[in-house]
Amino acid sequence: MYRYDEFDAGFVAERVAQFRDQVARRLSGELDEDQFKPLRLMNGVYLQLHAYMLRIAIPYGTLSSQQMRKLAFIARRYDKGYGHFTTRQNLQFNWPALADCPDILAELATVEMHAIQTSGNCIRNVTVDQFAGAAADEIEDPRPYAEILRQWSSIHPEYSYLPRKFKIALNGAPADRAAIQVHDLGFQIVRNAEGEIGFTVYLGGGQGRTPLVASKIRDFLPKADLLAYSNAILRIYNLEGRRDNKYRARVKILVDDHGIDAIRDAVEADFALHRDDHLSLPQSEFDRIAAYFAMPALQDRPARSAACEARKASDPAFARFLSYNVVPHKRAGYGIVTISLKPIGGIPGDCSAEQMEAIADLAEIYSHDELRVAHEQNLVLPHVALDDVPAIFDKLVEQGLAAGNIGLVTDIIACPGLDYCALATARSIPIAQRISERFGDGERAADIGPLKINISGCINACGHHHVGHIGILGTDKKGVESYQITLGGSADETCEIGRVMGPGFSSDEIIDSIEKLVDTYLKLRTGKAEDFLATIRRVGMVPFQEAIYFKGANL
Amino acid sequence: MLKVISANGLADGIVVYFVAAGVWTKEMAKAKTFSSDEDVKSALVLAKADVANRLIVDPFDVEIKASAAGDLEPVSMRNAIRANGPTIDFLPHTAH
Repeated sequence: MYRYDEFDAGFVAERVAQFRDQVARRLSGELDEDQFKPLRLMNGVYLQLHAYMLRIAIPYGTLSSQQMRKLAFIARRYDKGYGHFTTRQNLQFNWPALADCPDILAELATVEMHAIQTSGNCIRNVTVDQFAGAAADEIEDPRPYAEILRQWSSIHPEYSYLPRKFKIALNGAPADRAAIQVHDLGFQIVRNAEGEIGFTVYLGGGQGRTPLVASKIRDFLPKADLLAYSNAILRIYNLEGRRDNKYRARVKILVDDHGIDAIRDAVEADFALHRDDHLSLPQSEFDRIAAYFAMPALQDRPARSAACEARKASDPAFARFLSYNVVPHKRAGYGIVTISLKPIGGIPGDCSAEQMEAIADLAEIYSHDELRVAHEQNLVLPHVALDDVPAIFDKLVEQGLAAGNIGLVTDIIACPGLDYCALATARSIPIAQRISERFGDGERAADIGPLKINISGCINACGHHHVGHIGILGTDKKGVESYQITLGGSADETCEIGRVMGPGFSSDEIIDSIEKLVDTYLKLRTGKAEDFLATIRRVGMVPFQEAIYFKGANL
Repeated sequence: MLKVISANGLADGIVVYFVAAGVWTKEMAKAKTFSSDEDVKSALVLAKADVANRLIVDPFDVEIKASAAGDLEPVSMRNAIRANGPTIDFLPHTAH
């Protein structure tokens, strides 16, 4: 893992001291709310429905056991004993007192963490594929590049007041697990015909009220040009992005308004002018950063684990866990284990302090002290010997976190919704819980196969509903919650924005409607090998509309 | 028309309701109620003074009504959730 150098440590400590002073001045009345609000947001502190909320950055979703234990400590000491992992690989505490936030940030700094740039119109926490550095299908680990981008973008003076927020994601394998095409800027690591590693670059994706799939701006960017090219993009966005209308200010709107060809011309011109100024990545510096992310020393092991196979044969719950939560590692005899934060009927992404500590222990004992946060709001043990999977499973059973449901109908992304969020128009979490209970953790969910349901409590789309195979958007219709369904969205390398099916459903109706969509899929699929998304892509939306609306009505 | 004034505590962020100048309660049932726009306006002036006095932030008026059981409750779901807390069982349970 990356370790802070003197500069990083000094910079974070200085920010904690600054914020401590700002909070003191706010509480003494020296600063009023209008003066203070931008300062607290720069440090990740929001005011939500019930209380303040603190959003903590987990750079590229990588955590050590020590850091996870610190989060557990903060949850107990300063919050209500739990935290919420988000779709941006961050962690949110829902109940901190403002007066405690400087102490919380000081605690975080002791384990090389902070909340800087988790809000505001700046370059936000850089996210990556949660299996980075471990996945069997990986071309190259994207985390060193993410760390380089983090260093470059942290309190970058030119990019601290962008027209709007700017989110960067990187993905290291052909399978896109980082949803790069719905980010402002996405880097897909590729190998060109000459065998060189570089990036295919995507610009202008995003969700919210104007969902757009990113446009490809460059087929192949040499890796040494990562910062110079990012800089050119940010310069053009900073100059040309709209500042007159918050809803038209993201880079996706700039790309949509001018067309990707015009934006590419402007970016390439700036890139050509400044390419060699000072932002070319020296190989030695890249190597220095990459060394922090080296694969841990893993002993040779037989590819097949007798312990796993024996348990699989005798325990259906373990067999499901092995089947859905464990994916191939680069090294034979190892696996990547995803811990589902979606227990049946649970709150997606929530994790208690006790669970955090148990997971930190598992990471320390079985995964070389390393954890990841997935943007699907799950946690990952990236380097696990297959022989250890039964022991991990047993510990997770004790914590109520052994659901073998990754990628299935119950692995639901949901934003906090109206239960917490000041922007929300409807609740998300109870809908997720009821869908989860309806389908359960048994054979039914397994038979349905891969199916992503994403739920947002408002048009800002923190729950990624636009790219759910089934997306659910909660709205407020004359004071009553109404849930609109979109179909056919996808966040992977075949990225698509889901299409709205028709009028919304009440809270009472929505679960039955989702079940009807699933039953329709089961009737229409050519076989189990054709998953939900493939079936929709083959047959279109009409048979699904007919299943949930009266024929002819509102269609 | 029936309204109460709500806000969040400055130091802790917790939802509070206006009782009198400088006095706020966490329980909506103990809040002072107002039945005219003029009274609401006057109460908001007092609330703003409590913003300046560093007690609270973001005061606003909340429309309420009598529930079937006769209790007063906010008309909108958003304000009902603010008053009663999340509608979900969010507190951690000890592992079994």
